[in-house]
Amino acid sequence: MSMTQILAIDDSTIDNLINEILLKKTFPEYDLQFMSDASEALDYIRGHRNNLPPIMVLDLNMPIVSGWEILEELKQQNHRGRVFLLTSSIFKEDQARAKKYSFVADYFIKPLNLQMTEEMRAKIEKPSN
Amino acid sequence: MLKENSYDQRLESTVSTLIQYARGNFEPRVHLCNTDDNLNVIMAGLNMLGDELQTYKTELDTKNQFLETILNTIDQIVYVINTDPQHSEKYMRFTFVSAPLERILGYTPDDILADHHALCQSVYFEDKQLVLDAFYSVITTGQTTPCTYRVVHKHSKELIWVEDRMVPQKNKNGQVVQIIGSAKDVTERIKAEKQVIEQKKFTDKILNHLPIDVAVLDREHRYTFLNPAAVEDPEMRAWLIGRDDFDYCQKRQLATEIAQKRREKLEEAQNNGNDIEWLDSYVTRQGDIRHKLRRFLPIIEEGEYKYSIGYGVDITELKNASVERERLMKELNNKVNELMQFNYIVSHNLRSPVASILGLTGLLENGLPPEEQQKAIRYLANASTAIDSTIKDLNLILASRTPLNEKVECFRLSTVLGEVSNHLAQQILDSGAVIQLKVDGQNDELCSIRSYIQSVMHNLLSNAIKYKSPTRVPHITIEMQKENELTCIRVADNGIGIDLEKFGKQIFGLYKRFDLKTEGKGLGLYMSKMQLESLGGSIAVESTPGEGTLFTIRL
Repeated sequence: MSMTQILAIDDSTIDNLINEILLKKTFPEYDLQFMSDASEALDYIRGHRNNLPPIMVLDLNMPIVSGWEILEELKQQNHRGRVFLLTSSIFKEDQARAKKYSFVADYFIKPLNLQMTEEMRAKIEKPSN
Repeated sequence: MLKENSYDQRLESTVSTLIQYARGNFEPRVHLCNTDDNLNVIMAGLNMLGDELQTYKTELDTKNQFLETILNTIDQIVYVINTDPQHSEKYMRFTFVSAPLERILGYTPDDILADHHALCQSVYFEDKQLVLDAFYSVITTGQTTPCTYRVVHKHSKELIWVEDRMVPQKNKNGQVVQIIGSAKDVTERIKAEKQVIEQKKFTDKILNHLPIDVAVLDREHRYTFLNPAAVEDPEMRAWLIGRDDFDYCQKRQLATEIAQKRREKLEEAQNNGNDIEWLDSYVTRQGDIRHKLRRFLPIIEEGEYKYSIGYGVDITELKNASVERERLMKELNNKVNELMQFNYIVSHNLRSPVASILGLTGLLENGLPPEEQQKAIRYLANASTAIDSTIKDLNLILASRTPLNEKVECFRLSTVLGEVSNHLAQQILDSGAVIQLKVDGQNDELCSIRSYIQSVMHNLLSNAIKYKSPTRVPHITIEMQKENELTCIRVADNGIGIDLEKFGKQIFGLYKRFDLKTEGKGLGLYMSKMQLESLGGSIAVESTPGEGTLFTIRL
């Protein structure tokens, strides 16, 4: 049986490094994938309908294709997996808007830290209903 | 048996009957006897005279009764005054006053006949001289004189208006010996007349002082009335009566269109028979624009159009205020939008590198392998630079919004384009770009804030080169022309274009970027839009992906 995939999408090189270090620490037995170009990520999601990583970590504020467009695409696909939003935005409206998507499991404000990744893990391992 | 009276007794009876007749008593008759003498004939004649006189008296009484009834019935006081021109001009005696006196003034005819001055004294003091003058005028001129004056009612003390007509009666010598007067109560009429006069004064006052134009126009569209608000100059107002709007416009050297428009509206009201309201905006002789809310009210009587009443209220101030309010609202709205955008920038773009720094320091605290530690430190520096750069951008943006220190000056667009081309010399050289300026008319002069126009042109030209087609040499055409009162500058390129259906709303947004392969921060178009808007202008974009982009600036 192959390892469970986690896909992290973030355009910031710095944040990608932070994500990589922390996610690797918390999810050593998972298959971690990182994408820094949101357009590419959107194409990938469109091309892998029904075959997407069950867990995604998504940044919201990205140029050209924003996290919102990816969320819309997932909604169209009736996505069953879990998406953790990870954003630097402290804009309250963003949080409210994000919670409207059923597959959004949680919303974290950057920077990511070990406490957050542990929370993610706890949510993932809790049997979903 | 009949007793014969003596001669003397018969004579005595005859004389006493005569005396009774002389006193007006025609009842007694003398007793005749059988004696056939002269006295008996006289006595028979006397009895016949008595019968005759009695008949006359009855007839006279009936006539008197009739006359009195008439005098009582008519609603006038009829009176007779005897005068004595022979002895005194001031002599006067009432010899008759008809009964309506009591009904009208409260005095009985007997009051007057007993005191000849009672009626004169009851005349209201202000009018006494008037009555005396009229009275003496009748006596001296012998002419019928009418006179209207006030009398104080005997009981109620109310003032009664009396219209008195004094008709003189003259003797053989032409002297006035009697005045027959007839006086009627005209209080109601005078009151009504006064009320009409007061009413007219009142309406005149209103019409003259109202800050509303009022005019009345006849069937041929000529003025029959104008109030001072409509035309201030009294001479002009008088001149306009009987004339129409075309005459007025010609006289005042105003545009004929003003008269034409009014005539159209008036005819519309006249034909439809309904009120019509419209906004009359026109240029005065002084060159000001006035806005008047006008209304024509057609007056139709018995199905026929008679005339129109025109009203006009000057709403210039109101209209200007509403334009100003709209402008303020728009400005306020813009400011709110800008604030929202600022809020967004701070929460996203400033927060983002801060979050990175926090994340990196968190990692460093927990310990990292040496090569990752090096990377983290390098990234820390990058994130700090990003913060610094964002803060500088914010400062630049703020400065572009407050053009307080910048002066408006007149310059040539070609000069500014020359300077921009110098700045972009390297890029133009590298890309082989061809830049062309087309000016409609001879003059490419522009009056604006020069540094802003320079910055906008710099952004647009550098974008046009930056986003050039990979297969074509960039061709950039700048066209300048006047559109009404606006200056229109169009910047067209043959670059890669942009999918406006997808990004249309965001193209002028802050930190919005659409092509990651090319460097840029997403600041240029945002700044250009801000600068143009602070100049009261606008910028719009049209594009076909793969073919090119056209920016249109209006100032």
